[in-house]
Amino acid sequence: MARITGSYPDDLDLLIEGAVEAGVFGGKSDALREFVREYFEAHENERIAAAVALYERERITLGDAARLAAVDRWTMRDILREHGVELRLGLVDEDDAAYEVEAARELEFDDEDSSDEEPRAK
Amino acid sequence: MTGNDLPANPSVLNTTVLSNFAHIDQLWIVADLSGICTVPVVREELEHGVANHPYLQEALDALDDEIPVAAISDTVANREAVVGEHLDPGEAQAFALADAHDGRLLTDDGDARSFAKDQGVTVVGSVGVLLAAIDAGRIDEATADEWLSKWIDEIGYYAPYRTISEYR
Repeated sequence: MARITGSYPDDLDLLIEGAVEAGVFGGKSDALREFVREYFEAHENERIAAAVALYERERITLGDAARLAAVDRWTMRDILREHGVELRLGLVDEDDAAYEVEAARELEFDDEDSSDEEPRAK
Repeated sequence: MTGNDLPANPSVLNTTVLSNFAHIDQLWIVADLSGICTVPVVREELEHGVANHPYLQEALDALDDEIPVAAISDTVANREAVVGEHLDPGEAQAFALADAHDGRLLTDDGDARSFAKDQGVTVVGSVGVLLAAIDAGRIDEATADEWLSKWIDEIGYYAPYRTISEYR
């Protein structure tokens, strides 16, 4: 659970205090959590913008971004591409490609098809 | 598939390689790999995405019969919980299984690849599967080039070279 310290006008503070006194919220933290949650539920574009910004800055993973934006991973991938964000999907650079070539040597295929068959592409 | 049924050095899929090959309707390549398997969370992620991305149905259909879904032992679950701070759920579970059974992680996710390498677990991505398939005589280079181009152009896959011959 994160903590945020901020300031806001006195009247807003009084309204929050009053709402707590009136039993609308259990406490100030409950009230603030509710405000933020309601904001992002009502503002889908801003929710997506937040997820895109954090992924772009390498603060979160694709799965995190998808969860924050409330979409599946593949939709998040499409959203990131629409925003012009480079996905961290694939091989990073030439060194990663060289690693991949070596790692691929470990892969073997089951011997159900004879290797003297013509290569196929279904 | 229980822990006891697992191959000695499994190749464990997360969603990325699975969905890449499903996207080009060529999942048979992945299913033919020795020791191939995936994990329950990957199935959940595919189920979550299939409504908006119907091509994922092919991947879902391949699970169990063609691509076994491994049961998660307590040992793997404990490892998963630790690495879950660094990885997405599907990647964390796939990584934990590969790590616990001296296998490899099959993923294209950059964050997961970096983490696995740092942890000393071998990672192979979609390009690696293409290279292995060519070496095994399953496909030719022209076919691999065509598939790689589709990933780069259609789903945002990044690769430093567009043709397989440049990787050799």
